[in-house]
Amino acid sequence: MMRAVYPPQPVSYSHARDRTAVMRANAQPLAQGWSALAIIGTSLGVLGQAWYSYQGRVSGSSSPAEFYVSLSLVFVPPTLIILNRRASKNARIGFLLYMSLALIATRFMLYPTMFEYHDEIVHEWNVITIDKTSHLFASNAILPVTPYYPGLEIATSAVEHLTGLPLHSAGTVVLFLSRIVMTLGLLLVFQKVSGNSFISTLATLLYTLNPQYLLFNSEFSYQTVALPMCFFCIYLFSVRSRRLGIWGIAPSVAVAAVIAVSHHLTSVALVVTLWTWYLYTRMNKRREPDLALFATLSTLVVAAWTWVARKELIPYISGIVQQSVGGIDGLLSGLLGHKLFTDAAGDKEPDWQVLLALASVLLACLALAPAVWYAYRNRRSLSPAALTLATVAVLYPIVPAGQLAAATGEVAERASGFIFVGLAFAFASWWYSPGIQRVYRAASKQLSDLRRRYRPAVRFRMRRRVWLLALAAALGFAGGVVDGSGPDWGYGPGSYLVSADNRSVDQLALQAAYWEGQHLPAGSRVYTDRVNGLLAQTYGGVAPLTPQTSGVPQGILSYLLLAPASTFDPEIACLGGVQYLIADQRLSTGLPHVGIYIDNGEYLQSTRTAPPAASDLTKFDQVPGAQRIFDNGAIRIYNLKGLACQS
Amino acid sequence: MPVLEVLVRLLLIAGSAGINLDGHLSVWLSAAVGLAAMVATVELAVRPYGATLFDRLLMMAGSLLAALILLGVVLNFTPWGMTLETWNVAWAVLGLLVLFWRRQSRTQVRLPKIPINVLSLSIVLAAAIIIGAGALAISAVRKWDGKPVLAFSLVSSSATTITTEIDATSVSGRYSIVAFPQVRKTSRYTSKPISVSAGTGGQTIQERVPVSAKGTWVIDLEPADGGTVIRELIVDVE
Repeated sequence: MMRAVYPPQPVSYSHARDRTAVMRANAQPLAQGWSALAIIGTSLGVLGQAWYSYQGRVSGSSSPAEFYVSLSLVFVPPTLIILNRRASKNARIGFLLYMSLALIATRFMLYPTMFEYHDEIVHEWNVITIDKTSHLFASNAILPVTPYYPGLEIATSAVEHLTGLPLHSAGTVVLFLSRIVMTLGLLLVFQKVSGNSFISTLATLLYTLNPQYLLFNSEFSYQTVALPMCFFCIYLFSVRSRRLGIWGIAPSVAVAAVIAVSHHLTSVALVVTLWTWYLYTRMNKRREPDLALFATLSTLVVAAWTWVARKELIPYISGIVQQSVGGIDGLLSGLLGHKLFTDAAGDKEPDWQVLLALASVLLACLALAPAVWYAYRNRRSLSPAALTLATVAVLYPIVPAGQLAAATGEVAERASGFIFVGLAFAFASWWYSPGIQRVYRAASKQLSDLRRRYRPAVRFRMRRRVWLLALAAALGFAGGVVDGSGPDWGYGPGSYLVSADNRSVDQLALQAAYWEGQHLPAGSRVYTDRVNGLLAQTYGGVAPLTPQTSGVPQGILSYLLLAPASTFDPEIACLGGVQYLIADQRLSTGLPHVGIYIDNGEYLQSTRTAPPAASDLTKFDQVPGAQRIFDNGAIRIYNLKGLACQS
Repeated sequence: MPVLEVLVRLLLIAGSAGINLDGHLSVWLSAAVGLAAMVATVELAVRPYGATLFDRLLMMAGSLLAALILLGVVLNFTPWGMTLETWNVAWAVLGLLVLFWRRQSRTQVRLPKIPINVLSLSIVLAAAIIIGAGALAISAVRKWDGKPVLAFSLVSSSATTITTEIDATSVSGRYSIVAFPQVRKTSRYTSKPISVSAGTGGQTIQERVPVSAKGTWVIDLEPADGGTVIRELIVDVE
């Protein structure tokens, strides 16, 4: 139960001298009514998100403003409680947990019965293969590296088998567990580092401003389990029993193994963080017992699993590095910059969303500068762990800078999930430092006349700087959502859009995929566009062809769907070993919202200004040996096994 | 640990495994018992750790995820792999080991006195609102799933017959199947009218189309009273 404690727990600062403010804060606990309003407000926000989803499905579109208003209703009321010094420590932590679970519940409200985002459907296939084969490492044509990092999928399969829940429900249980671990893990690690509950709760709150928090860190995707387990790992190390000596680190190493099995980059980030922390202990001469051993064992565990996954991991990471380097190179040459806040189909985000996004970046930069300066000035007195977090914070400029090139945008966004850990902590430490409190006391004196003149009618009293912080947090949160969730068409369900991930998963696409599962032999080689390929693999059980599996470059293979009819079409299909072609005629109705119809390197990718003609997609109607075996008005499936392929 | 508590825990472990392995009971029951068994095991395992409620909650959630993942990796390298049976046996064994490990521990069940005040009422109201939100979201999915779709597909073909399938949702009408060779349209088959009356649950109808010659056949689905072709298949008969 979240009730104010009276007399309240004394607040302790590791470095504060403002004891009068502390005593004033402790004198009167927060009235229950305000907590009650916050609890109900958040639940109404969740209801608002369900309404947004309802509108999208029933009428085909819903208002982005409604999306942000309901999301703000989830975020703002608990924030006001969390930032209020009269709320007890347990109340603040309780509201943090409540808000974080409410935010992940909004994802469930948008898609309550199935996973519909791109990465979610990719990982769903991995669970299905584990359930079918009872073993790991089955192939995944869309993202071949994912079967080698099956932590999320193992946990989901386990919950399915231990509870009888269907896959989506079991996955949702795992996501909620991960969110509990993320929120409490982060909070308690910050608590250990700072020794101050206000700093830890503020830092955990600020972490939710991370652009990846709402969407990507809630998705059914491998990093969603790995990142919280990273915080849990460090927490376990911090609470280890020193009496047990080196055996005390065994649980932490076990969790490091879990991270190694769950996500490649998170496990590397853990190892880098541990060694950075160790370096600071050496520089500051503040020894942390067993840290070197822990870092060494974690490194060995991560290295061992990386060796197991090397066949798929190395090409995957190399591809990302090459693309990113190419993107940076192009940007420096002024060639490959892309239009910010505009998707590939030309849909521009509304100006107010652009302003929100820019405001959140500006706020983060404004927060970064004094926070890092404070850490630098106090580097001799800060603990090595705090210095490690400050070092991570310094990396923040990578996040907005990476958005300037299309090729580095996704990498930069993913990095924000790690970087915001440091940024949030560094800012929270600075916010509660004695220096900034002196600044605000001086400002408060200037404003006291105004306060006497305009006596507030409402008795909910909070310090002005806390209102400022709450407003900044709300703006930062909304802006982070704009940054990290992509164009507003992707927020939730709605009418069909061309090559728009979740907005392209509709009844027609699902009908075709389910039919493939019932009528096509498992593992059949199919060629199709991005979204239908995802569905064909996961629900159809067939194998979408890629350049890696077909041996034919995407630029040529994509002629089958995107280029006008030519005499070479049968030859291309034969070269790629295409057994079935899935042609979605709706691709001819618009440009792709994610920039590609099929995959990188496709026909006319960088120069296309108009969608392919409908006749390009249906040209196999005229090819001898090709049979049209499925037609639902939008999607046609061709059996190409009868083509006269020359051996 | 009191005998009663041991018996209750053993019942929970065995009950969960039994219900899951049986597979015929309601998913609500298997989920409730299964989750309770998992939570009871991890709670007992981490009980001595964690100074506060939130520390213990973190330990429980984190340990549960870690245990499931590590157990899965171990099971993968056994000949049987990760099946319904191996998961339930493995988790039951783990539960028994934890029970033996913590045999000195004793659970004190104290039902908290929940005061009826603004805060507790707000929690109840918020829970009701969130459940209502979930129901609203699911009802939207049901409406969305029930939107009209009509597919026409090939099931099988032989030298004399092509079997086709009509899959419809929220569609009703009378249709005919018209089939003719692509090259020579002289042999034309028109089926008797097929009545489709598909609700939101969908309807599947299979129809056999006789074919009289080898070659490529065009099979159209048209309205029974004439009109434009709605769906079309192109099939090779050998």
